Amino acid sequence: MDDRQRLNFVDILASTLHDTKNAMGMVYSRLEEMGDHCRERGCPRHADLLELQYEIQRLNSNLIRLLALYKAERTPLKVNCDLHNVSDFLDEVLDRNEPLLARKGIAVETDCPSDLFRAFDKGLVTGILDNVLNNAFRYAKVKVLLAGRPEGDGLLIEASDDGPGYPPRLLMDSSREGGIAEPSSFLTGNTGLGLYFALLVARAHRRDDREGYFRVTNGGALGGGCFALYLP
Amino acid sequence: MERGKQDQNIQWRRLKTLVVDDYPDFIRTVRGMLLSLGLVNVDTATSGVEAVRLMTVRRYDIVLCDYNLGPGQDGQQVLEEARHRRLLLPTAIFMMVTAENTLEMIMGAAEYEPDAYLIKPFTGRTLHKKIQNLLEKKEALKPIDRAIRAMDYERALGLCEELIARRPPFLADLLRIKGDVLLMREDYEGAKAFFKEVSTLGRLPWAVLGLGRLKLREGDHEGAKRVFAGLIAMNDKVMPAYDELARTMEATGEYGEAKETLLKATEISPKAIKRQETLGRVALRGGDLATAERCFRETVKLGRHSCFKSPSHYVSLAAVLTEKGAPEEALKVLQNGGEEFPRDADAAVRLTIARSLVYTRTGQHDKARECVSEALEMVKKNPQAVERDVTLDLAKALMTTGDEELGKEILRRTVQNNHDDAAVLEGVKAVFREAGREEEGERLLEEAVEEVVAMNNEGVRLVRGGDLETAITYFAKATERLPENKLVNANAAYAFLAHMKEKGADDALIVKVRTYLSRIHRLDPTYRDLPKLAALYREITNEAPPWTTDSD
Repeated sequence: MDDRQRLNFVDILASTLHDTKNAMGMVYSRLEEMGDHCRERGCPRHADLLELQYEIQRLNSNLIRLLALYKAERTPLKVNCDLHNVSDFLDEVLDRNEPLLARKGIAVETDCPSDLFRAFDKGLVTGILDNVLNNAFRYAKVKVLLAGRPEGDGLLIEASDDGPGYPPRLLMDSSREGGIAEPSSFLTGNTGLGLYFALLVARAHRRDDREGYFRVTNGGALGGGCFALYLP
Repeated sequence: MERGKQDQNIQWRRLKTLVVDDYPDFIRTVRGMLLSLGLVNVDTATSGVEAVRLMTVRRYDIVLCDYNLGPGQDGQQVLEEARHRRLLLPTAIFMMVTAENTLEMIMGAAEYEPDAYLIKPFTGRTLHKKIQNLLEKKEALKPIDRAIRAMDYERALGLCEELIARRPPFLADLLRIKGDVLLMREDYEGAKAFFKEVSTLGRLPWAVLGLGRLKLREGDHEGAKRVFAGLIAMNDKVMPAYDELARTMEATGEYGEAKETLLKATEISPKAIKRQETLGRVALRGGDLATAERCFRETVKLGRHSCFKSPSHYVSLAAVLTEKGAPEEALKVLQNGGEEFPRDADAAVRLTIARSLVYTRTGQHDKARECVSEALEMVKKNPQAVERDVTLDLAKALMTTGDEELGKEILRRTVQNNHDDAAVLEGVKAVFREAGREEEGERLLEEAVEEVVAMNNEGVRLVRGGDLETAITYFAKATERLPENKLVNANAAYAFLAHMKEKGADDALIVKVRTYLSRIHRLDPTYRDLPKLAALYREITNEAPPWTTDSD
């Protein structure tokens, strides 16, 4: 085979990822149906399905992020901004993630002024928050809070839980010089990849000479982990 | 449910809903969700064809349509047909249901966008909230829509500002509409200031697009290109930015660049039939037959299940094939076109004329003549069914096959009905140029235009002189001679309205004015003087202009 005919391995990988991701989405919705079915009939194994759904959702968002990162490596990450009502946006994120969390006994709430409007890329920010809430499934005890508020003419979104908090190696502040660890040190596992994605998305949101950042802290509104995202 | 209070404004039981999906399972799930929201009228369809058929007999308030419907029409095509054929009221909501992987492919694919996308899987709660938000929004925007359709831009603007001050959840839509209204009322300074003001909220694509369009209006092509290209660099999904950029490049003669831009756009959104057609045209203009052929083939293919299918796609493909030296295949394409548009007089004429051009190119002049007389017969038998731009094709075919006098007469008519339309006049000139008779064309054009202008001036003189009685008789005759001329119709409408303003409203005269205004609106809904005439009409009759009453 000569070189021009040889496909780039990374491209093959990307296209396979794409296919896998779609299949995963299918599996997820079928599981959802099966879960409902089981619950109605009081089947004792329906909690297992829940666990499966959680894993699938986790893998699915992994793949979505991988694909986004793959694209970002070739061309600068495109930010498709539009003006959104923040409270409605957070409600949408909550609606999508709540069913899974609720079945594990975790309550999610949003807290945001109803007349707050900001411009940002809904798809990318959704990706970040889905990941954070997916983590909460594992670590939160009974409560997760998704809050939005103005920060000057920018936006601050905070996701806090009442769990044990983030491990020290993941505590970071991407706004400070040296506030973020070497990617190689945290790029293992779901949370790490999620944070790397958050970093790219936050930085791609730029306005005048300001750019977005995030902070991972412990304590927060509910005493557990707190992920804060600032978008200018 | 905690939302019970807000729900009181919406009478869920009365809403008529249609759910479209080729998966019975999915239909069952969604139907269950809707019933639990208190909806009782829920119809279902398992194909696009069935959905469209149902929409022609029932006025739905809500349509939930899956994008992927198996073979045949897809969800986007159902939406396009529904909106294009006005099967849905402006207040109805159309929600496109998609799996996440197809969302990117279909977003911004065409001029018709759904009111919302619903990404599978979704919960009953999400559905409930979306429907509620959309219904509230549609209800709130109704008076603005009505004012815009009546071209009462002052009122539309006032209503926008009133609502904006209340900062409802759909504020983003309101701001966008306000920008559109400012442009419609030709307040370019106001629009510029407004776009700049909203840009302080963040980089909003539609505001940037608006600023680019204003630059283009000012004739600053380079500046406009920078704006559009900058927008694409930031925000690659704003499909109109590609269209505007390509159009600007085309206007400055950069056909290669325009082609590249549209190629990128069709990669992102491959199913937009109009863009494929434009790309084909631009490629042809730049001499790239291969790309042109590919695009026109694509338009034919995409058109199969689309309400935007058009005989012109077959005509264009045949022209490229002839150019490339494959006249046999060109004739075959035209024949297929004939089969796709049975009982369509306009299509038959276009396709027959196109056949004559293929024969002319290959030196088969007898056959070419035969086709032209066939086309002429069809036009004579059915003049109403034939659209305006066919006349140019017909005249061209007549000029090349020998019946010049008739060809010239048709061209004269075309010029007189469109004497102030530069594109049409350019088309007429091109016909003469291709026949090698440029000078003759210039002369005919000049004489024909002069006659119309003189006719108009005489009428305007009568109006200004205050002899309104004579003026309306004069313009009534003029509109009979040139029923398709916008200026003549506009002046006629003005004369009749001025007459009524002085002597009082009169039903017989109002009927006439309605005819004139409807004609102008049909020929060109953006005609410059329409808003002014509409305002005058409203003042005298206390009614909305005629083109708004057919749908509301």
